[in-house]
Amino acid sequence: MAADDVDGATCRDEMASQEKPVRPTPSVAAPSVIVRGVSKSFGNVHALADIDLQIQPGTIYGLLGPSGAGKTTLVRVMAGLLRPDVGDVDILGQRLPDPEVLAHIGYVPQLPAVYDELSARQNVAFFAALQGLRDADAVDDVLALVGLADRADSPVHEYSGGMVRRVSLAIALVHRPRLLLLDEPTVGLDPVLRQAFWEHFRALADGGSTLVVTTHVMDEADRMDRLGLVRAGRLLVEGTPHDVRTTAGTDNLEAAFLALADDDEVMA
Amino acid sequence: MTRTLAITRRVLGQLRRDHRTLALVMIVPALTMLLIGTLVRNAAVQPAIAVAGPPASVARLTVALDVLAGADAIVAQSADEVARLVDDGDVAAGFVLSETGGVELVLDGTVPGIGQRLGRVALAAGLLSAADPDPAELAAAQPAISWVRGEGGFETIDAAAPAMIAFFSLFFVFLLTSVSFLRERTGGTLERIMATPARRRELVGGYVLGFGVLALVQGAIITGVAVWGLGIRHEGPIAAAFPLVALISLVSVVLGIFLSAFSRTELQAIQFIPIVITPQALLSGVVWPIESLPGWLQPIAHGLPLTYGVDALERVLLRGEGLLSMGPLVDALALLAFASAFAALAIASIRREVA
Repeated sequence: MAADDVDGATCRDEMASQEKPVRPTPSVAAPSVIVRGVSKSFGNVHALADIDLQIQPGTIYGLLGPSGAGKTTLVRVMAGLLRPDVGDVDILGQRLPDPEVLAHIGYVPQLPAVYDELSARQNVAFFAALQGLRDADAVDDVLALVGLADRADSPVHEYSGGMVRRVSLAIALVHRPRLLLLDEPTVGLDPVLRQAFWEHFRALADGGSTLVVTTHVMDEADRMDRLGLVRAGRLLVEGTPHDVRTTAGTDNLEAAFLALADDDEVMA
Repeated sequence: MTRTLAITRRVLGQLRRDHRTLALVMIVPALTMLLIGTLVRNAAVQPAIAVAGPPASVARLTVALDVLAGADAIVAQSADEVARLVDDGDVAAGFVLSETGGVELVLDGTVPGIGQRLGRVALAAGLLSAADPDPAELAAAQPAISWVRGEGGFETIDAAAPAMIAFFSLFFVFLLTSVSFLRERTGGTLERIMATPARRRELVGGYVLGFGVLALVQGAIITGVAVWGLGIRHEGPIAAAFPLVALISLVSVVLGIFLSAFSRTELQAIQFIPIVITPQALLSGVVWPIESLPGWLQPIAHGLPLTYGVDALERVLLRGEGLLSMGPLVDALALLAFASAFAALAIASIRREVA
């Protein structure tokens, strides 16, 4: 009898664990992203050196730094596209590498990687299908959200640069990811579209999504909830935009960045 | 499977919108096939041979040329005229017969092949003039032929068609896959796909299905042109060609995906054509039979996938062997082995550091 009970318990446990959601719910205040001691080299180039950071759900986290600082590498590590040489990355409570967690990540690469021959709708529907989405409404909704509903059936090569960027964003949003990784999403956008993008980002964060946004444009830094300043693969300083200014002892973020970068150089 | 089909649909959707590429795949092989067929047929037209000499000898030789060499005789008035006709290229060669039964063959040494063939005719003509048979009797004498297969005798183009179908299936699919997968790699869409839960094998599978469909449509067009456009003769059923076309294109897609990893630009991808396609065109039995290759080239020929594709299509279409009989089956297994090896390499070439 005792053995039966144990068996039964095991069985129930297994069923219970199958019913449990794979990921923790957003209401849990666990960080969406935990990066622990991550280093990554390409040959002799140390792209990332001992990065530690945590990102809370519902926040917009800005990775700020000059070109070649390692921002893209860090985002690609978070997207599961690169495995760090050293260190661990937990995304939404799952340790990478984990193909399952990819269904909850939206990734917008620096270049608007879309299929030129296809329409916006075909592009978005293709990536929606790869995410396992069968819902055509989700495609329509996201096209409307980025303001492409009218031109959704024209091939992308007929679009303006800004429209292509919107297709790229729509692809990353269609499966309602809980973590959105945006690599320089606003570079080259006109001020109106840039404003619209930032309104989308803020609305997504308000809805509980976590956003990681890289930029080298200082005037975008104040739109972030938290900032990480990256230079030569290292996280120099981290905090709210206000904290960063205080640390650097200046009101101006650009000056703050230069001041901190100089300090770092002196230290190195 | 859903994701694989999503990739297949996308590949086909892209092709449908790319009319130029569609034309390349559908129309170019058909036109090439028609052109080669016409040229090969034309080259098989009987060559003209000038003949001069005593009328009785000329009449006998005319028959001998027709029967032995498949050539038409043009009667010339003198040895000088024969020489002039050969020199001007109006005839492939000339014969000057003497009253005493002597035979002189007049040749342009820059026209290959014909000398050997006509040398034997000249010999025969000399023997004929000695034996002095009745030309009418000689013409009427028809040997009894028993055909093992291919009754009436196939022409060169009939025998070449299966190899051409095999070659086109390999070539165009390789060209398209390597360039489109390269664009996937360099354009960032591959990375984007890898940032979704899609698996690498699903991606490769989607490409295989998409380009497989394309290869089958192309195969149908080429075969249609061959059979109904050129009137190509075949012993086996045409439908038996399609599973083999699908297998050849499978090898081609996975090879194209794998090799696209070694190019950074479309120009570099095209550079694989002389490296990968040309040796197969030369050594896989498309033009020259494998058995006629020098010994040291034979192992190389047997290491090329197209060799098995050509052999299988020739066995099935020319020799009328069943798809599941020994020969075609061994070829099909060899093609599958190539496909599996290239597929493993293709999947390994798509790097994603998540499992």
